[in-house]
Amino acid sequence: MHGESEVIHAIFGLNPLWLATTIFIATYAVIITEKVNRAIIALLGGGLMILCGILTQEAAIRGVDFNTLGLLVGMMVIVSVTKKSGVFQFVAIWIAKKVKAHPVGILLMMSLVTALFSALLDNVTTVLLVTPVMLLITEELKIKPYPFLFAIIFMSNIGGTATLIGDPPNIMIGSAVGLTFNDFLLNLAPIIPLIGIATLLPIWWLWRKEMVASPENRERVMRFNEIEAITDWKLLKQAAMVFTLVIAGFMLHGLLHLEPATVAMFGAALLLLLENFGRHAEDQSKRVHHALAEVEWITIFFFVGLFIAVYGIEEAGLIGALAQGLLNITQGDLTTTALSILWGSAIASAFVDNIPFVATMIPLIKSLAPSMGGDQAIMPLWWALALGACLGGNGTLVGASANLVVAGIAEQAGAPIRFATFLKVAFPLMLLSIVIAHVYLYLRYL
Amino acid sequence: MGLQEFLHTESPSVPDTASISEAARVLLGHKLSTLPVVDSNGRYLGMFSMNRLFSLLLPKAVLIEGGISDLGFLPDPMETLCERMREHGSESVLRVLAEDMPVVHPETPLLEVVLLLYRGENDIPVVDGANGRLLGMIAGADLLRRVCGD
Repeated sequence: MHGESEVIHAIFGLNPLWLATTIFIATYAVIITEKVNRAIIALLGGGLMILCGILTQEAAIRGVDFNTLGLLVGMMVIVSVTKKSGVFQFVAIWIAKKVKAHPVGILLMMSLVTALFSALLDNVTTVLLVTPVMLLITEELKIKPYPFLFAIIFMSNIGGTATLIGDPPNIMIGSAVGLTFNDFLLNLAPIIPLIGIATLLPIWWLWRKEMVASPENRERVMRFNEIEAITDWKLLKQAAMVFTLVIAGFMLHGLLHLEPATVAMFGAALLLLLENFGRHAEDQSKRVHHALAEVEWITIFFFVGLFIAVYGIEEAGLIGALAQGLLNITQGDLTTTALSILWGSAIASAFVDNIPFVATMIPLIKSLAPSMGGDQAIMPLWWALALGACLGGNGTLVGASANLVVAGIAEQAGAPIRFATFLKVAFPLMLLSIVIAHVYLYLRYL
Repeated sequence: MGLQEFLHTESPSVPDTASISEAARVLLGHKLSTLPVVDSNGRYLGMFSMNRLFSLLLPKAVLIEGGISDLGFLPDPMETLCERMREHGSESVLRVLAEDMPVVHPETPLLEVVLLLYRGENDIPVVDGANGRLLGMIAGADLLRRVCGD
């Protein structure tokens, strides 16, 4: 993706390395404070890299990973159209009834559904779909929603770790390194069920006494008619067909020589065509506008700014210097490097957004390849980064976007999730998941 | 022209000490859709409305941003609705106070009032800009009667 380095003419003859590092650290610092919207800061950081002469505009555009952006936008459009069919509510209600509306059964099954959705959709989308239904069910059962929302947060981050498209860090890693959907499925998915079960058991044990509902309240949930939740059968069939094609496309994209962004964007366009075919021009405009407006543009522009800012420090030589520093510490030992990346990513991702962290780590790990035996030899480092960054997000309420989205919905529904209360249980559980990932990486790759 | 001509100084209001069910009785008794809430000094605090009353009858999951948009899958809920209203009836009217609804002052231009009525308000509270006291209400129907020549 990245072209040849160019000679940098930094503004006022300043040292490009120091200038780029200052811009990057300032960008990172303001993102962490959360005082200003993260997309604004990332775009300003990226813009400053160009204004200060670290990058030309052409170089900045080379730094943007359009494969990541295309995949995210494509999937967001597909979900925004699909959800109008009511299928996600149908699934949630159906499984709640399958377990006779028993709170423990609902906890288990909703966790499973959240993890599965999250593996196939991005985490934020998943929690946006699952959380409202979960709140409705717990309100009808007259039980506290907190344990269920806690489980939704955990399972969305854990499930998302399993696939290329499940979590933005994986999308970024897959795109930058050329890893396929099946690479993620074969290398990360096998450990996900164990991590899921290991974290779900303590969640159940901690809140088991609160997971009791009266027979009358359970009967209220049993009276839900899940079939009525489907509001558009035609759209449901169209979406199911497109979704199947897109997943098949992801699984075969290596063989077909297609990038995941092409598959996702083509799927989005196909679904929009099916939804709008035969409608009046005005109606089409309204529907397409709605589908495109549902894309999380803040996330997309955050990525754009961040890619440019990271490319700036890469071109200025900071990434190379950091990689050399890491090599000096780990002495080039694969085991030490992989486990350092796993734990470092997990702790960092618990406190700062994992997207800028992974964006910085990708070029750093890439530059380790020549000293550590080539691209194939450093594959475990990518799995360590993916596991650390995705699972680490569970450590605190600010660790992942999905956590904040659930907290925001819970707050609106009068069931706020507090930072410290969440941290007390979440951080040890996150560490437990990293211990399991540590053992898995060690036994399988190191 | 001032708003004095259209001002109903005798319009009902409820004190901030009222419960939701007491406020609802006043609202329904006067066949109104909104009702101003005032403190012990007569200062305007916000509006109690039928819309807010309906929100109490709904599951929270539909009231949140991006929440459930369709409730066709829920069973016939009259019993549930009555139960929800009973649960909330004794709570303070302040719990459902709408503080962001527009108010006007005696010196507000008439066209500004028409704009608010066009945007969906039926009755608009008139508040003294200096001390925040409720002076009365303006009914959209009165204004329409006048412009239609009735």
